[in-house]
Amino acid sequence: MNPPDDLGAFSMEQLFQMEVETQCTALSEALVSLEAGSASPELLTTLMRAAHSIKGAARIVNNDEMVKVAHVMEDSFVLGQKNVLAFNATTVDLMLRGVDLLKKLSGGSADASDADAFVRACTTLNNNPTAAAAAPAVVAAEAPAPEEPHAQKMLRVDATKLDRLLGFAGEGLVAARQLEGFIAELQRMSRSVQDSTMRLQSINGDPVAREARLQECREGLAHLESALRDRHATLDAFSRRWNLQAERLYEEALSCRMRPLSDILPSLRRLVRDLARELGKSATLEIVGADTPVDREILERLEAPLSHLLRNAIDHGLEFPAERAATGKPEQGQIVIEARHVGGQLAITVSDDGHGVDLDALRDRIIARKLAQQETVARMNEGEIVEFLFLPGFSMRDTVTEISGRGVGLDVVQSMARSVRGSVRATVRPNRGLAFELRLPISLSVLGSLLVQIDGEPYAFPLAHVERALKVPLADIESAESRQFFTYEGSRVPLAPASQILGLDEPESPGEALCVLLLSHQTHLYGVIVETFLGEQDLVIQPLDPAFGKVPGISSASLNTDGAPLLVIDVDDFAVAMERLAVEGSTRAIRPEAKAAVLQKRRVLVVEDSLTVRELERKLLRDRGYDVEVAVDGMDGWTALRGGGFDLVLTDVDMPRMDGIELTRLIKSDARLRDLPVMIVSYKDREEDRRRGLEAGADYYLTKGSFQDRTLIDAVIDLIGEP
Amino acid sequence: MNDHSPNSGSLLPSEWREEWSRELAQPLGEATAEDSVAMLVFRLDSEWFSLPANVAVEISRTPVIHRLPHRGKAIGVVNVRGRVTACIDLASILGPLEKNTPAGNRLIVWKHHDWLFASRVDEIDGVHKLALRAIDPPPPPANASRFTTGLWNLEGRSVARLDEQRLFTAAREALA
Repeated sequence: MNPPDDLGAFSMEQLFQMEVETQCTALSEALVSLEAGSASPELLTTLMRAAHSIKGAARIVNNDEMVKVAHVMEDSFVLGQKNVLAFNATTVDLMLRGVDLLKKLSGGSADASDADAFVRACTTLNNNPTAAAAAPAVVAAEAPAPEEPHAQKMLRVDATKLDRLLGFAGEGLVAARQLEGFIAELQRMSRSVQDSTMRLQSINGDPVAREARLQECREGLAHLESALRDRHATLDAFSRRWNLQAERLYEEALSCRMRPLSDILPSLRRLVRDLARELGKSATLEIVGADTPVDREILERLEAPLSHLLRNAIDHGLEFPAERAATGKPEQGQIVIEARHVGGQLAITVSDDGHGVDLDALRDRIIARKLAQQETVARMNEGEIVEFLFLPGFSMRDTVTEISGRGVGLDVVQSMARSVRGSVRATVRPNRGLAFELRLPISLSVLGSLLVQIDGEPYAFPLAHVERALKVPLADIESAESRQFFTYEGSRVPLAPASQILGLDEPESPGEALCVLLLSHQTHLYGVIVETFLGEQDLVIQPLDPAFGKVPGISSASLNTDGAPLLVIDVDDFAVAMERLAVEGSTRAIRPEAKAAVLQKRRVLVVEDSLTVRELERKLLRDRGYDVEVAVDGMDGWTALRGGGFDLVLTDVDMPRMDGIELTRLIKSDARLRDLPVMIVSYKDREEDRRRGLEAGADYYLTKGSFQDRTLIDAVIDLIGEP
Repeated sequence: MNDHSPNSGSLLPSEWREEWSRELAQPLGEATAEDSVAMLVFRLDSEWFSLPANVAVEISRTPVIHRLPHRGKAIGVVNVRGRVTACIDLASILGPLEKNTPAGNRLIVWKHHDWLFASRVDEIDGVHKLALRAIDPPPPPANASRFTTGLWNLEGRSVARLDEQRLFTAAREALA
């Protein structure tokens, strides 16, 4: 068994990978600074050393290609030190390609021919340094190689931190033993109480003897009292010390998970540089708060959304140098990343000094994409308008460029933020460009949460998503078309019991007021009814056993202060469930009597993410006499199906979380559901789409154009008969 | 690492240490290794079952079990030494027992490959040596028992010898 701080636990190959990663980061950073005009002698020394280290390490693991590549790069840096070779944009480009090539070679995604091509280009440069400016780009840019999934995640932790952790663990051992002695003392005291009791019981009529016994007892009790006071003080001190100790241990363990933001900065600087150059723009990246500590896991996931925000800023935000000059701005645009801890959260702002977003154009775009009515858009304020930028597939660009405009950008940023229980907001700053602010938890392992009781058991809601916790008098709860709601600050908020969303038993009688949690999802508010509030608590989050698969409504687990397990609510799942209930009406809470009659009819499940299509299908089927339930995506549909009782499933293909093909496959491979007919309804009418659907096991493939005529209904009757 | 820590041994009660020292000092008997296997015997409802003792890693009083929504009554989670661990009512997998009430007051933590899970049982009758030749075939028809590979007699009662491979695979599948 290897202790975790022993590098012997890593294979030579892993150690080599770590080394290459570290050195490549150093190379990238130094190269970008060099080009930005920083003092070059020190930088060139750094570069030379890094290349040299890689060469040495590559030799140990017999990677000859990397030895060659690192060697020519080292040569170039030496020439740079001698001022023979100038490090201008072209040279830096070539060297950065070398860095990429080294990374690929270490991961096995480039071969000897790539290495040879680079070595040739570099040798040409080194032999004829004055022609540097004209050197052509030799190594073509390639798509990044997919990262190899590692079976076990390796972390590098500062050895002193591990020593401190070990120290805490040692103290824990000592303390446990201290308690052992303490227990023995308590046992002695308990025996002495028993003795006194016995003496009191054996008191007889003789007054002298009685007085003597009583005196013994008094003395015994007095002795016990002082001993108890003593023990109490000891236990008190012990508890105080251990609370402190546990806190320190926790902080220390937590800090092992933290890395400074600066870890990902070199690659971002590189991105800004490469991109601005490619687009013919000029930009600098300024970073405030580079040493802000960030949870490793968040840091890893931060790189993609930050890259996207930077891409956006350069492509959409910053103007071309000439335009900027014409409006009196400095030719070089400025992008600022600012990181800081605010109120227990990590706030990262990305802003640029470009022209920002044209709100009127954005309004037109929203109307043109039929995302909202003209009058609604007119009423929306700046903040609400800007929210549309985060919709999937929404782009301000008509043309798709290599850099951005595919419309798959800002929604990615948002989904990353949400996946770690954070948020992202855009602010318009007139004439100063757009600013995006990411708010993320400082650590993923601790969750500020509100504990509640649902159907007799504890559950935790992430505080970040809880707007308010309220007691709503029953009298204030209204319903319309069997949808429950109540009025909060002037707007109607839909309501549903948490037990219903989780598929648990309904609580008996709620009393005079309901405990309601107001949750925010995107711009909406909705209310979840729980049994009771149990209070706020910081929880250390544990993942659920992966064997459970995805449990609808639940994201993870934790332990309560008394050691009992509790479950953490998945707020996204709740929002999806609320959306479904808003359409179906709150079935359980309000119409219990309607159930029996309904069950006789043939039941169809409609799985469709588009509200319009979903409602159309529902209406068509219901008008024909079928009983219809709806689900908003494959995952939701799968949950509904597990409840049983359906005669047919109608599903779309393209849906978030789980698509229709996957859902069909799941149904057809489930022992209980295998015989349930599945009909796919899709816009995709190509033969290969149809084949894909039928191969997954669908019984019927229908294109959405067929709504107008009777095709849909006829097909349904074909499959399951009249309602 | 523990071997170098000066006092770690004293955390164990001294009688355990002696007992285990004696146990470990025994030469490996040929008969025990070849012809018999140590079985953990437990009761669910009115039926007695047994599994090889080495697949059980821990036995304790039943702590609080938290149900898992959308997974039925037989599935939940439980705290096993600070880890939230899956808990499955084996009775739900072994088929309808007489009462089918998971009211057991003992928790057994099982280990199958690297997967840990717990289940509640009504009673534990400890570990017994089972001579391999003392196992009878399961009651006919032969294909009726999915998990029982044989029956054996312990102090006058019939105990089912369960196939841990099949049982635990079914338990794992029951979670999703």
